Amino acid sequence: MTAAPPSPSRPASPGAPDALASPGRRFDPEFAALYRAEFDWVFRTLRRLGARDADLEDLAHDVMVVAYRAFDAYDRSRPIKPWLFGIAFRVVSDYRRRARFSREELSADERATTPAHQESDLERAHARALVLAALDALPLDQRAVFVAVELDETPVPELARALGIPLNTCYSRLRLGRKRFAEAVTSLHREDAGRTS
Amino acid sequence: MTQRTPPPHGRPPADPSALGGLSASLLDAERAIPPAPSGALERVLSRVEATIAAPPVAAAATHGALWIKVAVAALVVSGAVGIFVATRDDAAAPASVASVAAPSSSTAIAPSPATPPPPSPGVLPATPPALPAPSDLRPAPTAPANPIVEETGTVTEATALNAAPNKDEAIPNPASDQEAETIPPATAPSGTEPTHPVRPSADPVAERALLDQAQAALRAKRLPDLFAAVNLHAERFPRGALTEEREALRIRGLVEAGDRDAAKARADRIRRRNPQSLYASSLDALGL
Repeated sequence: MTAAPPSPSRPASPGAPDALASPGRRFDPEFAALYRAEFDWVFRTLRRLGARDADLEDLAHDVMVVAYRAFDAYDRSRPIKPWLFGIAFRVVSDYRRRARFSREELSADERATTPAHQESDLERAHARALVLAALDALPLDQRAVFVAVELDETPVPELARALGIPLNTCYSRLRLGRKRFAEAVTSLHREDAGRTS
Repeated sequence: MTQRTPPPHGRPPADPSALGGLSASLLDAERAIPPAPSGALERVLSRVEATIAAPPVAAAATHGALWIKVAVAALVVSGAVGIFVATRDDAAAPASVASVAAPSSSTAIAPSPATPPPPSPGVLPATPPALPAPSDLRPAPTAPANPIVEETGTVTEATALNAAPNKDEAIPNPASDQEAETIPPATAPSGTEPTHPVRPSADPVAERALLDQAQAALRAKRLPDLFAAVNLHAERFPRGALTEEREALRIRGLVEAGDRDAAKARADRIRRRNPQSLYASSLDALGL
């Protein structure tokens, strides 16, 4: 993100320049650029945090609305992704709580029936399904730290700040998350091997 | 299976020894995930635009604030506490009633009306139905000397401080109540300044510095220093941009001090005020 100054008047200024070049659109250029640049990442982050495919667009909407409304408070000197990740994490937490989400409700089998978007490499698609199934073995707080650090390469201090948790807690979640993930991968791999042998 | 064709390992892991080959190769596959489905970006974009194009929350806030004034005035004049209780929908009614009845001040306008204002049209369709965010009628900030007005304010925090090793350094917390009342919801009304749904900070550097001090004190388990910093922040920036962060720090301090009840009450308040709070998840993680 560029270090543009906050624009407190943005939400109330529909007449602001319209980066999306479409009448009636209200994003200012900076947020519009953020939206375009980060949408895919938000989408996959939500999926990695355990959202059902069918809910991804709803949740991406929620993340972007919250981001839009909080955008003036976003510290431009900080990287954008951890900030957005914090929002996505919160949105998914609410989503899971709201739906009385349980691991069983979102089984790997259910995911496996979801078409792999624009996916030609079945092996990779299978690997990804396995990753998501293994991630399901992690509690959400560990899962979030694991996803941000392992998949997005977010620096742990930046992530701790974005999630509002102590640094040591963040490291601890990462350690536990790695351990559980590796165990889950091993276990799923064994099951896989058992089915195919 | 995937391990037969491990994709190239394209990034330096944060800790190279942390994950073994199978996990690492699976994660490489996940990193190569294709983009979101075609059309998703535009579909979501139109929905987001529709949501944010809704009338600003400030209008609802104004109505809400007016409502509160009327309600509080009616209570003060008539003492019709029972009526007030009947309008509330949360279990904290008795404490709130006590606080309203307390002689805090007629300007003691809680940020939330006895009856919630009409929900913002911008309420997210897929987010939890607004907790009765505005159902929490609490006294206003200007009654620091009255410990009754805030069930989790000065008294509990002082308790926490007393439980802390450095209790002799316990900091008076004149701003505690005020602080608790001025967590401005990002999208919900703020009682006394309804026209500021988003909070610009007058001095963001100073705000940040104070909370960095608080953070450092928390890390070092210097709880009196932590509470001093957050109290000072509350005094200087009652409606600053970082009020939720301040409250989250205070809550963690209370947890450290062993006062989980106070911490829980404040955590609940954050959730009520702003169900979308970025800090709610970290509060969840604390088991609050």
